[in-house]
Amino acid sequence: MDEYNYSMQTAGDVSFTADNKADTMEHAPSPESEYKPKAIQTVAALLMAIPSLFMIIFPFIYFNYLIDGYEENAMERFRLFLTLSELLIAIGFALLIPVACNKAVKVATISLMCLIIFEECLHVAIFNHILQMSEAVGYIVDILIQLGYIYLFALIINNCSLSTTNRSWINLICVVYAMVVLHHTILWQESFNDAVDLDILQKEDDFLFSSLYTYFWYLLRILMIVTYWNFARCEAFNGQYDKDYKCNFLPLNKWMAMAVIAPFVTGVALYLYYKILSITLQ
Amino acid sequence: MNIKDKITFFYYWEETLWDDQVDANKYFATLSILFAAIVGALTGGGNTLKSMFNLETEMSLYASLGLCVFIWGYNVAESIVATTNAKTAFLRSLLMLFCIAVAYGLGHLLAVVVIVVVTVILVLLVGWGVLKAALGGSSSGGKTYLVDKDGNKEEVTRGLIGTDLVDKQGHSYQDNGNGTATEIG
Repeated sequence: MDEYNYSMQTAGDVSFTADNKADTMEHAPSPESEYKPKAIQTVAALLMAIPSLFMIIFPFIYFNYLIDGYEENAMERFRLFLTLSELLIAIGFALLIPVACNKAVKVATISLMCLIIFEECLHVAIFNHILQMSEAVGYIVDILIQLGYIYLFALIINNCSLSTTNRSWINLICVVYAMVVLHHTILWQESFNDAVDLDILQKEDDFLFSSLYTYFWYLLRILMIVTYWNFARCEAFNGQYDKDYKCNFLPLNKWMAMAVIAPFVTGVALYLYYKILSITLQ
Repeated sequence: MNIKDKITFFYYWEETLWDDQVDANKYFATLSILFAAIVGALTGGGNTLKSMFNLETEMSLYASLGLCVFIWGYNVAESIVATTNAKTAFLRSLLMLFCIAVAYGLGHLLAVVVIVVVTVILVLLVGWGVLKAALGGSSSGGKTYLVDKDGNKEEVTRGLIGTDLVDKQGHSYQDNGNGTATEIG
């Protein structure tokens, strides 16, 4: 009899806990279970993912650029492809503006669209020799643009409740932009090459990295497809505009810290690695 | 274990290490480690093939290590944005450096070992075939006879080396390999 009572009590406890959980879920819906993306978000996601998808499906576009990079036609074809890609991403951002969930997200989305158009106009102007700037100025502008991207994506992450998965994918966009700062500014400069005396390390097709970097670039492209897909379909663009939301526009956050620390640490690590290597090999 | 679990093993492992202090991407760290292992394998394998068979598969060891440092840089960035405090970010960055280095080393070593082992096996197989041919079919159970100038036939057995022949009286002969044999001593 005792045993029977005990088991009944346990069953009651369990059902009570389950009810409690159901109540909690009703009052504070979990973003992962309740949220369903809108059709317009899916369209924007497709537009944003297409350029990366094309880069992977038609790798010759990229390889042609690498192989025939010094031929004028190849450069022009690649520039046109890049411009169309950026335009598709800009259209994707434009579609997301009306469904932004608060002021900060809306400002970030509009700014992202403007920044991507500005960056592309700048590249086209430089490519067509309409605009000329010194190497140093070009690098500084490039750094500022990448920092702008990171700040705007961080603004979206900070100002809405994203699911863990979506948050981790949008973090990855910031990571890639932060490393672009390093890639396009420090590593490919002559001064870096002179400092580490790379002539000793040169071997056929190798520059700073192994030619295997191309495959890592493809891996990043695949991840970018998923990233843009998750970004456009995340909770930040649920269409329920919250007027009273207190937005936080401060740039002092860990994403901006990452944009400074990670490229710096990696740059120093690479410099030390090549410097020690060149001293050892001499 | 399906493919999704395989390319997220580091994520599940670090969940037990840091608990809720890390909110990293499920795939990125694992894919970085796997990529470092592949870079190590291709570099080690390519250089081994070059040194053994003089194939055009040489890859710069220094450049591939440089690429691993660059991949680690991506993971440092991810550690900073995915962790809740600076200490965890620092520790996770160190852990990623260790894991990438180990994966590169393992990939490098395994590729070299696999190529050497496969080559040794192939050489042994080919060598065994040549040895069997040199034995002249003794393993097939047939008998070997020596025929002298007078036409007398005498059964002989082969020695350990395969080229020496011994008759019943204990005389040794050297197989010349062209169907003739010369008595030794």
